[in-house]
Amino acid sequence: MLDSFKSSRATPRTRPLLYLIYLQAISLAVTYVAGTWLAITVQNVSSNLLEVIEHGLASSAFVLLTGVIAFLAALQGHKRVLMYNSALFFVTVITGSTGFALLGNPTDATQIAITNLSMMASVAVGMPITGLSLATLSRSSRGISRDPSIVPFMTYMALGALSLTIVAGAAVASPLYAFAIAAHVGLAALTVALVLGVLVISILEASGGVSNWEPQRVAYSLLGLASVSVAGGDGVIYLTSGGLSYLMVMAEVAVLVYSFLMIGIGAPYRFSSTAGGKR
Amino acid sequence: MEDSLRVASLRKEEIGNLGLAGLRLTLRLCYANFILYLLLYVTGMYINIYITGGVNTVGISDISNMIHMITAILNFVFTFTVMVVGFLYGMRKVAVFSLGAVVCLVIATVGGLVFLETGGGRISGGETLAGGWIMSILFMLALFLSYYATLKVMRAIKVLEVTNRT
Repeated sequence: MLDSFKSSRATPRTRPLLYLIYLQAISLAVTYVAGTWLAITVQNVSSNLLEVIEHGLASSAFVLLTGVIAFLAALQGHKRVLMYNSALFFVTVITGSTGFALLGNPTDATQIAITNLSMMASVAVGMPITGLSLATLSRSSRGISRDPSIVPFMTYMALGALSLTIVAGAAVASPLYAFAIAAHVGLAALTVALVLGVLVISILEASGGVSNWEPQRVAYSLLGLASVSVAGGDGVIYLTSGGLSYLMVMAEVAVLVYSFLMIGIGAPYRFSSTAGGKR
Repeated sequence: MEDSLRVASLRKEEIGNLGLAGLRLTLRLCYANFILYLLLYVTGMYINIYITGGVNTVGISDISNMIHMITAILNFVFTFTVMVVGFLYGMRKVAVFSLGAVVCLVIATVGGLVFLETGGGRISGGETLAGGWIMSILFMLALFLSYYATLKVMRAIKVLEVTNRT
């Protein structure tokens, strides 16, 4: 059925969809940071009502944008974007509902662990999917069916590794402490390696005279590498000092890594380009 | 002359630029939304009659309330999506009616939160009852506005079918 849209759709509007994906990524980042803040400072939900509302609004915006993007992608015939965002939508709704259960039982340790892990799983699914959607649609808006560079693929991998690092980090508070720490450190190292790989390949594409050389990719992967290194250093400080504020800094820097990788995927920006035209 | 009259009458119809296949998909979304409205009504009435009918209260983490809230989330997302489609694809009436429904649902949700926060039962006081009434009345208004938006989508499909356009 979706194939019929490709032939019959009158005016594809990829650009609004791209803006919605940027908004979706921003809301995911805010949801994650506000959720982490809530998780490490919450003692009694009723005394942190403002933080609960902030997190709730950001996550509502995220789920709303995910649903809208899935449907608009269906209208424009982007089958993969539709499938992944629909899956993300349902995962987010289900995991978000664990938040209602937590609000009813804010002191129950099992409920806290279930909510933390399920919400982090939602963030973990969300990061690579937003990256994939952005890459697919920015290619489409430029009129390219397939990216000639391996960089976008490595960036998805980096986003996947980053999201798994976050999940492993959230599992540190569970009985799987030792396994979670080992997985967290290993996955963080993998993320660093992949971001470094993105940077190196972006530079090699330049020096090899390949036509798809994109200076924006080099710049953003460099910023991503710097951020992920800071996050790693911050993790080491947290392990030695034990200050909870370092956890918060780590979450904020992880969001920066995510943002730079996302912007790198969407690059290059040529808003004056006529390749996409009025799309 | 006849063609220009036909074009002029079609302009009044507000068929937008979504195309027939897109309009049909949007109509399916509207139908799915009506199923959600029905579920929302049924779960809300269940809570109203069987839980808060006597002296009992309903809490945010009760299963019946969670099902009601998840249905409300889906209902809101679907209504909002129809609104976005209306704005993006030049169907002003669909967009405006859906926007009205979205505003109603937002205020109804606030009413629901007031209901839960102030006690969650019929004997919890005036504020609780006011929250409940706001929720119920605005739910009906949202349903009414979504119905009008759906009628406009159906009308656009009919016009495109009659004029053999895709």
